[in-house]
Amino acid sequence: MNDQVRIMVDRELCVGSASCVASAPQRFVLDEGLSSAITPTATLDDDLRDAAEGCPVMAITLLDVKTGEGVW
Amino acid sequence: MSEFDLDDLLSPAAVQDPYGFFGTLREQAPVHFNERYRSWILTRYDDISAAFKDPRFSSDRITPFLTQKQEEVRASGLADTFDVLADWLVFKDPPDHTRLRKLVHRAFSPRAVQQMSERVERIAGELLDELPPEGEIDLIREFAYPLPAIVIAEMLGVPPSDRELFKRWSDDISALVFGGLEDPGRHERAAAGMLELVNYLSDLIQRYSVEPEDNLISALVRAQEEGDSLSPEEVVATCTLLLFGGHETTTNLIGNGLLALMQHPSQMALLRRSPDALRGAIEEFLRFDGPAKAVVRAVREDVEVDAHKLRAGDRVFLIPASGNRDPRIFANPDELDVTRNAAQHLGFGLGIHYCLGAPLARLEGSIAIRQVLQRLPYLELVGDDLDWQPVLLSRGLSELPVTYRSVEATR
Repeated sequence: MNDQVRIMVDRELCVGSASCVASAPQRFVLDEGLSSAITPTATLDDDLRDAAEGCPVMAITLLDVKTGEGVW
Repeated sequence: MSEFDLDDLLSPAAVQDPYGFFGTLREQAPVHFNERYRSWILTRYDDISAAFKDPRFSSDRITPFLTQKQEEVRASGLADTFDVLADWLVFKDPPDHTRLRKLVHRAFSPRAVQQMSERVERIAGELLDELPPEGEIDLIREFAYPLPAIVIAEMLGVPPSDRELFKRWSDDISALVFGGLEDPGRHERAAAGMLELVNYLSDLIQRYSVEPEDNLISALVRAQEEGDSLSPEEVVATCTLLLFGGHETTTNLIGNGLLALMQHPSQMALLRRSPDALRGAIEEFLRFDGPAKAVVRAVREDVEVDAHKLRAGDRVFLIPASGNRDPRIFANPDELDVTRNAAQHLGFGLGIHYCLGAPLARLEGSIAIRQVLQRLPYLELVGDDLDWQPVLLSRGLSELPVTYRSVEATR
């Protein structure tokens, strides 16, 4: 349950829709109009998954910290 | 000397060729105050992009309008229409915008939308099945117009038997929102259409709250019941927005894209040979001649743009149609090149109001255009007298007459 993931935001793809900030305000902020992860790693929960899945341009990638595999 | 009257945003010349018109503005006066419309007009890519991301440019242009013109609005009989529009999330600033958008954005995520692809393929196929084997048709009326209306109606949960009603209401309301000229009855029709639509949706919402099904209305009702602070009025308003936002804009993406291909036969041939290139081509259609010509913002606090002072309360038109042709960003901007990387275009906006339906529009656009190319060979434009709708915010054809021969007929 205690899955730690690395949060990667591709700021080239990001359009600043802030969907991720709406889904997981504890994980993302807008920095100069574009998304930025507040901490580089976090525990994977529903909000974080929603944020990654709900991104309209698929700019968010979540990697399992232990295995390095993409979980989103 | 310019061939355009730069004060008249809707002169026949400007409606026919907005790229020439706004391009002239962009190179001569990129931050321009238009006296006739009492609005600033921003035409450079960088200024538009910055404004989209700057909270000082508010999307709430309904509340100030209602406050200023309260009496006029009441007298016009449009008060109820504006009450519904005021709840549209496109007209909201945070925190209301955040709350409303969060409830719907998952349904429109790229993954959720990908699951719609079979359904969109089927609907597009059925529309093309109904066409005669060869001849002359209006591609807007027979295909580009009904396709997105049926898709969004199915997503919401509208029974197929009610589709025609839906299309009519969508038309009537769009006449108001897109600001058509020379259409004196538009206010009355919008008011009547909105009232009928609201009543219809209220019934449908009632029905799905008793017997939920797998559709968007049921999902919104569930969100409301789970205490996501969505008012009943907001459920109705959000449904009307999705219906409306998902319809005419997509029609114009399909129509303008097919027009561009008919005017550039070698690029149409390229896409027929390699349908996989359509993914990138859709971005180029959005850049080259996309559905969103202009977007309105209201200045919330004083802001300076290129040494011009924009004051709180001023109205601003951001012009994606011009930013998308800005030579500072795109090489040979006035040329259609379906193989270029056009991903930076402003066709869906930027920032917190970035088009919620973008993944769906991309899906519908690419399926629609691919199917037309596959199934209507020898597709050609009839005549070159194009009838562009004389409206400010959107860019779309009233009709798109074409001739074609079906695959069967060419055997």
